[in-house]
Amino acid sequence: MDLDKALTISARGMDAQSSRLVVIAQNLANQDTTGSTPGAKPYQRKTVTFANTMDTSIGVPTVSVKEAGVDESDFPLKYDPSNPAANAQGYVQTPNVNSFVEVMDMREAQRSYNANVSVMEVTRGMLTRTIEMLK
Amino acid sequence: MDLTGIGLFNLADKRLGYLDQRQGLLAQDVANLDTPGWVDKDLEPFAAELSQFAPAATPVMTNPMHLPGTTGGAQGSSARPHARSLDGNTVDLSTELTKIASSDNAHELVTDLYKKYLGMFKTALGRSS
Repeated sequence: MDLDKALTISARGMDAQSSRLVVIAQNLANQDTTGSTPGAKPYQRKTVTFANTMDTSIGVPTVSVKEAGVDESDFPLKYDPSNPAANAQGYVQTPNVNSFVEVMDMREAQRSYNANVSVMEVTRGMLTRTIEMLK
Repeated sequence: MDLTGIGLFNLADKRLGYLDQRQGLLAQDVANLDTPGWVDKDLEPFAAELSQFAPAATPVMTNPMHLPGTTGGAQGSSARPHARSLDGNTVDLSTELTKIASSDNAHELVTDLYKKYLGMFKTALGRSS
């Protein structure tokens, strides 16, 4: 373990949080995406989980997105007979995306990203000071 | 010239190695802030390493008129278990950042001391440092 690897670990942490933000952006952008045929499924909320796995190229475990799953909760029904996805009773299945949940998730991702940036700054300072010992 | 034969350089070498390793572990903790089931990791305090290097000096009463001195302060344990979140993650961001800050301070101290000590050698050799 050396400081370069600590930098890589933080960078991978930031990558993982970016991937999470991509999924959150997708969820928020599709929060009104319904199907196009009667009774069709609307957009299903996506989720990400992280796992720490060994990166053999640098020899340290780094964090990465383990799997991109989907939220299996029920789709809320909305009465909208004019919608092309409306069923015989006039109800439309809407995406199971809750914008409040997504925004809180986004905040958490941002906070974690910032934490990684702070660690990186400190590691870089330590690295610089070690190099300055040569002077 | 092998500087590690000289006490302070040897100690600085060990201390920097320790801090490098610790920084890696703490960076991992912060990177895994949202990993389910992640348990935070840290090294044993460096004092354990230091005590084998130089045993701690303790004052001795050589005259009954001496004051007994102070007794050692209570050893507070800072290793309290943090609340585990629902997904089993035990990383506490504020604790991690505090540890990182103290690592950073220790690193600065060691590198500064190293440079100062090296400067003394230069002075002894008659060169301006």
